[in-house]
Amino acid sequence: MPRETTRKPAFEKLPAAWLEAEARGDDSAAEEALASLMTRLPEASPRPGFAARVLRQSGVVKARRDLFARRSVQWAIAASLVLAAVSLLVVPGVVKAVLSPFAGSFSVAGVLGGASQLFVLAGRWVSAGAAYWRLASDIGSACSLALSKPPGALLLLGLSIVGAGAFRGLNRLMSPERSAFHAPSH
Amino acid sequence: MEISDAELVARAIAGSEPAYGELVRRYERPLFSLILRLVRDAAQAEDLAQDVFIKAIRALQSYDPSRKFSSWLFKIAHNTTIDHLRRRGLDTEPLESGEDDDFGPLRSIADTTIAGPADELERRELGEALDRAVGALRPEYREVMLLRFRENMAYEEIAEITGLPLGTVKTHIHRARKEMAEILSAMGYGR
Repeated sequence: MPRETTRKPAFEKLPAAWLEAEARGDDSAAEEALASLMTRLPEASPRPGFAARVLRQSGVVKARRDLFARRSVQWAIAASLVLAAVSLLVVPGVVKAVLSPFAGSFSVAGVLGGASQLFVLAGRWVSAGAAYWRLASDIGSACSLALSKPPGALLLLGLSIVGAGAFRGLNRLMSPERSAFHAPSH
Repeated sequence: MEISDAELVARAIAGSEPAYGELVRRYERPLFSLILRLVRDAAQAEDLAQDVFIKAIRALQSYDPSRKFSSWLFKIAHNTTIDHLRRRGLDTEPLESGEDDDFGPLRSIADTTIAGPADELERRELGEALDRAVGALRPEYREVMLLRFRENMAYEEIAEITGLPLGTVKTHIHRARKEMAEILSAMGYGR
């Protein structure tokens, strides 16, 4: 039951008009006054994204699906894998067939010369690669040295938190329906 | 100029996704408010409102354009809510208005037509008093009162929505008015 109160509310014009009409027994005036009064009854809103949820649940709007969840893409990937496996089986035969016209022109000296050239090229390629690995190793050492000290570690932690926050913010912006609770807009 | 409900329904049936969206947005608040006041639980009210719209969308082909769309939609809402209340076993029990009711969404709505903090306070006081008064009514009275005085529906429409005879609707509204007047008077209004 409503609580009894002795305080007289200030904002009483609308209720008073209705209650007076009710007391007089004037039905039409009472109905009119009550309709005006009831406009002051607060209205509620469901959470944001309600319409979008309804449309998705009812099938009017199809939910965005993962690219790899599509049947056609899955079939394409499977076909590619099978094709690649079959290709591997036929590669030796194809190479042999391609090289067969030149079979008579090969000599032991030529093959050895070619192999040594390949060996030299491989050596150069490895040494160039090693230079890149050395550079990467130097950068890694410098980073680990910096991170082994508290300011460096704190900087990394701070950057990680900022990055995670930015990612979360972006994620929420991209999918507003994930924010379950809200201050209703009006 | 606002597109009529009938036009939106026609567009929706023709496959217009924005038309479906507009229909839902147009009625989500009145429907949710009504259901919330009947079930007094925001999460349940939202689930029920969602069910109502899904049922309406799936049955849109069977909607008769000669009838008012709002009446048709509120009838679905009435049936869905009554089924829910029956399952919950609350249809015969009056719901007391208490502090622990899950009425957050109602309390947090702001009225932008109010000018200053004093007006805002007065509006809130009156809104809460009305809310308590409506909440103290029996569910069957509460629904007809809201349909009549909040949604401005005719007695005939209310009879159609609730499935009650016209005379019963009039009696319910008359008694509900008297009950609500007593409640508001007890709160100190009209003295």
